Amino acid sequence: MTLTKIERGWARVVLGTMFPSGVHPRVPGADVIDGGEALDEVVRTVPPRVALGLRAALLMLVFAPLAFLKFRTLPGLPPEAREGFVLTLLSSRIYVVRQLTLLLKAFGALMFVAAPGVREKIVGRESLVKLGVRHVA
Amino acid sequence: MSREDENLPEGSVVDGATLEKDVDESFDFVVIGTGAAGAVAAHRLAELGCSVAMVEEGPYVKTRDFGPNVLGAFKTLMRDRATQAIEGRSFIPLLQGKCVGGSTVVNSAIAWRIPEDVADDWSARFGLRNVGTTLAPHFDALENELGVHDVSDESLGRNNKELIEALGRRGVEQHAMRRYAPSCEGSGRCLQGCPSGAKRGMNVSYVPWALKLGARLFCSCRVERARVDNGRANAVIATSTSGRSVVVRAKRGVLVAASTIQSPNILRRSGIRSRALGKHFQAHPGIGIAGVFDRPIHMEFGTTQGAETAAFRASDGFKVETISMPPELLAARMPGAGADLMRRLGEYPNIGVWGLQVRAEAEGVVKTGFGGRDKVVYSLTERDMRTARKALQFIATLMMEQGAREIWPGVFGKSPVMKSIDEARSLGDGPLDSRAYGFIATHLFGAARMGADPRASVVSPEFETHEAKGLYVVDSSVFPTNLGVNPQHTIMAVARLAATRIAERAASVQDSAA
Repeated sequence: MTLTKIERGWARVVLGTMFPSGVHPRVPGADVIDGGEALDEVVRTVPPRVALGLRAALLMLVFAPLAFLKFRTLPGLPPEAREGFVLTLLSSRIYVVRQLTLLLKAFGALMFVAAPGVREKIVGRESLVKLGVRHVA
Repeated sequence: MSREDENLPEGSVVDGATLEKDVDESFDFVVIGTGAAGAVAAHRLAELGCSVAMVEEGPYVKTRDFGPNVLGAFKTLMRDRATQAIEGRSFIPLLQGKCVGGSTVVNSAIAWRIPEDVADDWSARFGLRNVGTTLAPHFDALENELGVHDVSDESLGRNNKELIEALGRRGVEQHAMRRYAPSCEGSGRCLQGCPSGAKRGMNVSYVPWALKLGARLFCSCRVERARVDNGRANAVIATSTSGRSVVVRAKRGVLVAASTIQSPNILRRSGIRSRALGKHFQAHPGIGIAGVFDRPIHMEFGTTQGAETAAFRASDGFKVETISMPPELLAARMPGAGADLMRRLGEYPNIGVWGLQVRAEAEGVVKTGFGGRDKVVYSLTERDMRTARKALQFIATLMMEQGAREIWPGVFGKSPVMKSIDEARSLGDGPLDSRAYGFIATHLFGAARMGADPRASVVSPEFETHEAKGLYVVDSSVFPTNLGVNPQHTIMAVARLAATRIAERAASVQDSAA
């Protein structure tokens, strides 16, 4: 299973909303990776039902504003208006909805922290070196 | 430190990823799986003079190739990229290693002998006599060979020290864990594969030691079934990742040690039809709570899991331990998304995570699902949920007492961010629905239970299936119940006992024949 070009574009928007850049000096955002390509790679390699779940989560997030009568998809909203929809789905009373959103959030975190340099920034590489940790990289 | 997984005897490893021709070889014994049970059993058989083959579904990933990223570890070391889940009332993620060394490559190498009350229970209810005394010499041997030590103060790290201090202040028994990592450097990367080889996973201990004794390893070869002819197992039929047929003949027996999930399904594919097969699956569901402190914790430094208390195991059914999480796993566990999430992630150096494991009474079923995939159906009981809730409240209040500025309990229906001890206490009346909690399952038991009664068990007390001669199960599938403590040590001791008995029995049969 692979993501279409438009789905890869949606993935960039969704992951950018979940993990925005410029909030904390030590935490780069999801824009350090190509979220579309990264999610596509995951979808191609996980078991089919997990790939389906990730795809369903992506579609659910993209079209969530329609359920709130916004008449726009998530990418169609201004960036500052997107976060609320992600939070709404993450705290949904419907178990499957919040689990699917969490699945995408979990893979998003795995993908962007794996980008070169991100882990070191978050954990504070310099202080770890001072502590004598040898295997930081 | 010398790397045990380098300079292996020439020709001792057959890599199914690059295998270009079919294989048909013969040994005394064939062991399926190279995790805690399989590796120990194979080594023991080799030590007792038997010719042994190990067949492993996953690849042999060397220490030099272990990286810091969890995504990479999931991809190369874990089954289904760590996306397996138990199905039932809620989805519970299920983590299993799929590589040479199995889950010992990605766990914390914690050494607990079987608790006395569990040994007594197995004796009273399942007719397995003298479990504790029978296993004792095997525990001794393992501890000696692997160098079991308490985690040193130098490699403990703040996350572990904070738990020890907090429990000590309450007057609760606590200690640094005993682990198979005598020269641990505190890299905080037990879950991604130890980068220094200090953790004595099976990939750097019993597997290479068995190879040096003449055993052979077929890795990246998925076992289809054990072949049983005329009621006797005589071969393992596998397929390499490259698509080649791998037939490994067993003159004396086949030992199944593929884990609680995979072993029952391999037995099914081998023609075992016991009504008890797949039943009585048990686990230790666990939950972690993260807390933010005003002082540095640095979970990236220190033993991933290094401190614990089992003070509540017998009385309340739970155990408390540390679990230092790398940032990507913690990010998934943090509340919210967007700017708040990134601000919280920015506090990573000041965050600690402690966890609980429940000795759950619930029993589930291991099945073969659609398309032949492994499927586990399991739901926690109300009593299990009450135990989990009580444990969660205990850890949450403990964290606040230790000075956490805020905690993130991750309970749906409760505040995602708690800033006072009263809020932490409110977890005691949290929901009793498992869907409200973020459980994870790592310790798995049962599904090919041992017992004297063929109607109620799959294998005999001699580890042989009731239905097929020469077909043995030697992993935690045979455990009649869960333990309430980390199981690797008991799994290894049971496997060592099983291999010893099987080899001795084979030798006596040979002597009689001579």
